[in-house]
Amino acid sequence: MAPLLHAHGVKKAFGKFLAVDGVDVTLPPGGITAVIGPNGAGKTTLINLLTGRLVPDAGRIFFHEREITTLGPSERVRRGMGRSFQLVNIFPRLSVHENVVIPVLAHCRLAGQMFRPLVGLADVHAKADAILDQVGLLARARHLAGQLSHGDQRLLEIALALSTDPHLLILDEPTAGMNPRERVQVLEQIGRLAAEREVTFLLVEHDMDVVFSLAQRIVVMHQGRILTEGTPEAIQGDPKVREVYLGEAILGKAEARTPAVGGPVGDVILEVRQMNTYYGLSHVLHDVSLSVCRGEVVAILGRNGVGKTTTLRSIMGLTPPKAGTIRLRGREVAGRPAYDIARLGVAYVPDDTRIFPDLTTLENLQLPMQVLGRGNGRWNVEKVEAIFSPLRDLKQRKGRFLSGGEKKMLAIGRALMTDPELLLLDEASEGLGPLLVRLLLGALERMRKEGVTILLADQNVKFAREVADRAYILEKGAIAYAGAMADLWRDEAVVKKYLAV
Amino acid sequence: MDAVASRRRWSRLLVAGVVIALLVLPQVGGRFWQYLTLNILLLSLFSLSFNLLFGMTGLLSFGQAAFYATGAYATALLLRTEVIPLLPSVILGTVVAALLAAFIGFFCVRHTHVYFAMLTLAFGMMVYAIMWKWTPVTGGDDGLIGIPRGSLSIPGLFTIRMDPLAHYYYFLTVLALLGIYALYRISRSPFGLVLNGMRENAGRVEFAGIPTRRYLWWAFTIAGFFAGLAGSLMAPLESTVAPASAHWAKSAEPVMASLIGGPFTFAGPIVGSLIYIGLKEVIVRFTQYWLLIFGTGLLVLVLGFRGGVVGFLLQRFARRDSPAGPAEK
Repeated sequence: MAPLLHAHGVKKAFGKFLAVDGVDVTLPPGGITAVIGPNGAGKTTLINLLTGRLVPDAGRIFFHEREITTLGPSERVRRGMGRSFQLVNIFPRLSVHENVVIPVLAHCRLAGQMFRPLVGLADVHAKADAILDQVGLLARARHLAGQLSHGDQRLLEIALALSTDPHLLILDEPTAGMNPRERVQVLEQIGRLAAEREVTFLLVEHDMDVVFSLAQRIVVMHQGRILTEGTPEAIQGDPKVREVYLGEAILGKAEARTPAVGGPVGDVILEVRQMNTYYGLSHVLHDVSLSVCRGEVVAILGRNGVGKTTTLRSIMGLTPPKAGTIRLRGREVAGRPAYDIARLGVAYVPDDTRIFPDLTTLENLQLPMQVLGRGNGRWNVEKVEAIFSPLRDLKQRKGRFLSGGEKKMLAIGRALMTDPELLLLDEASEGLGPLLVRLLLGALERMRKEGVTILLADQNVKFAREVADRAYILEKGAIAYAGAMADLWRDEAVVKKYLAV
Repeated sequence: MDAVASRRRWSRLLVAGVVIALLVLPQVGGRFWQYLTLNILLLSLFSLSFNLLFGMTGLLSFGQAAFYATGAYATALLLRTEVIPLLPSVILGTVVAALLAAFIGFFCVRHTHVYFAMLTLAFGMMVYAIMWKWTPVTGGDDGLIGIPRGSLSIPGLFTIRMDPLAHYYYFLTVLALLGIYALYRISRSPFGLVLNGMRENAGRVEFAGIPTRRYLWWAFTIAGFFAGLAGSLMAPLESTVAPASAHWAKSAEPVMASLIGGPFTFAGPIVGSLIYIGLKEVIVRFTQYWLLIFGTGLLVLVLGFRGGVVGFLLQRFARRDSPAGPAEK
C-alpha cells in the first residue's frame, strides 16, 4: 500500500540549533501514530515542517505520493491535511460558530464568495453545528471564542482541525488542558474516526495512558532525531526510551503523598474573603473564600470553565474583583493594580507562559531583576538553572525558539526571579512530558524549601495530588469543597462529582 | 433572538428613512445642503473602502487617498476629452484606480502590521509626487480645472445634462448608495467572514485551507476600487482635482471617520463621516482655529466612546436587551 505521507531526510535549524536533524517518517493510510519524546526533542518543529508552517532546510516530503516539500499550509490543507496546535490558536473575537464556519467555507470552496449572503448558506451552518456537536460545544456556539474557558478553547481547536474533512489529521497535544471527561470524549472521537478509516492520525501527546491505549505505532524522538519506532508494547519495553523519556515509573501510579507537615504551616499569607468577579456582565466568581499559609502548596481544582484561572487573575489584580477582600499578609490589596501586587511579593505564571519571544532565555530571566531593581533576592540565574537544569543549555536561545515545555520552565523561573513569597501557577504541568513533570515536582519541592508559598490551579489532578497539601474545588465559580489533599483523595464521591476522574 | 429580530427591523426602517431623505432632499434643501450631503456620502464611501481593510481585515492603510485621487484624475481626464460621457468616465476612472490598487497591493500584502502601514504610506506619497510633478498630464500644482460634468444619455432615447447640481446630486447619490450596498453585501458574505478571520488570526486562516495572501490582495484591490469610485464621483462635483486629494492628509480622513464611528460595525464609518463633516462645518463658522477645536472634539469622541459611536451605542442596546447574554453582532 502506498504511504499517505512520506518524509525523507528532513532537517531544520534555528540559527545554530538543529531542531530536526534528518528525520524519516512514513505513514500508511489509516491508523494512529503517536510521536513521543522529551520536551525540546523537535516534535512540534517536525509537525510544522509536515504541515507547511516551516520549510525544511533539507529533505523532501510527499503526501498522496506528490511532493509537497515547499507548498504553503493552505495548499496542503486543500489536499487533505489538517492540524491542531499545541497552544490555543483560534479566532478570539468571532463567535464559536463563526470560528468553525471559516474552515467549512474553505472546504466547500465558498470562502471567496463575495456577494452571496453568508446567512443563506444553510448547508455550511448545519455542517459547522454538526462539528460543534461532535466535540460538545454546540451549546456555546453563539459565545465569543475568546470568552471560552481554556479547556473549551482546546475543544474548539480540535473542531477547527476536523472541519476541513482531512484525510490526515496531525494533532499537537490534543488533550492538554482538558478535564478527564472531555479527554475521553475527544479520544473516543479520534478512535472512532480512525476505526472507520476516515482519517489517519499523527499525534503528539504526553499522556502515556492515551498514547499506549490509542496508538498502533509510536515514534520516539530525541534531540531532533528518531530514536526508535515500533508498536506500543515494543516501545514500553525499550530501555533507551525509558532512559530518555518515560523515566522509571509512570506518574500517577504512586500513592497520594502525605504532606510533610500536616495542617497550616505558618501564619496566613493570603486570605481571600467573599470574592466576586465579573467578566463584563457575566458573574464568574461567587463569594470565593480561601486562605493560604506560609510554606504551603495549595491546589485549586475543578473542571474547565469553573473559574480557576479567574481566581488566580483576581488575586493578582489582572481581573479585579467587584466585591470581597483579598488580604496579603494582612494588607488589603483588592482593587490594587497588578504591578503593585507583584511588588508586594506575588508572582503569577499564566497558562500560556507569556515568554518574551525576542529575548533570550537569559534576558527573560534577568528582566524582572532589572525592572524591580532587586539584585540580592533569594533567587538568581544559577539557582533557577539548578532546579530547571534543561534551561542551562538554552541561555542564548530566543524565547520563540523554545519548546512548549521549555517555555513553561522559563516562565516559572522568571517568576521566581522576582523573589516572590507567593507564587500563583496556572496549569503548570500542562504539556509536560513525564520526565519534566517529575522535574517540576522536584522544583516545586525546592521552591517550598526556599520559603516560596504556592497556589496552583491545575487540570491535572494526578499532578496536584503529588504536590499539594490542601485543595479547594471550584464548581460554577464557587468553592464546593475545601480540605486536605489526602482526605479529598479518600472521598471518592467528591472526586467523582467534581473532578470526573 | 427576539432582540436581534427587533434590532434588524429597526435598522431596516432607519436605512429606508435615510434613503428616502436622501432622495427628497433636493426638493426641500438648497445647494448648500445638497453639497454638504454629497460630501458626507463621498467620505462615507471612501471610509467604508478604507474600513474594509482596517476594521474588517485588520490592516491599517495610510495610502487610501492614492486610489481616491487616481479615480478622480482618471475620470477628470476622460471627461475633459468631451467625447466620453459621464457614466463610462466614472466607471473607467474607478477601474483605473482598482488596477493601480492591484499593482500596489501585490507588494503591500506581503507584510502586515506597521510594515503594511508604512508601505501604503510610501506608495501613497509616490502617487502624490506623480500627481504633483507630472504637469503635462495632471496639471501639476494647479491640478485639473474646468472638468465638465457631461451628460447622462442613452442615444436616441434621452439625454440629461448634469450641469445643474440637483441633477448631478441624484447621479452621485445613486452610485454612492450602490457602492455602499455592494460593500455591505461583501461584509455579510463568506469572503467578509474570512477577512474577519484574518484580522483575528491570519495564521489559522491559512490552516483552514485559504491562501491568505491572495485573499488580502483581493481585499486591497476591492478597497482601491471603491476609494476610486468615491474619487471618480468627486471630480465632476468639484469640477477641479488638485494633488492634495492624493496627499496623506486625505488618507487620514477615512482613518478618523472610521475611528469616530466605530471600525467594527458596518455603519460606523458612515456615522463617523457624518460627524466628521458636520463638526468641521459647524466649527469653521466660529473660529479660524477650527483644527484645534476639531482635534479636541475628536479626542473626546475617541476616548469617550470605546469602539466608536456606533459600537458604543450597540453595546448599550445589547446591554438593555439581554442583561446576561453575550453580545450579538
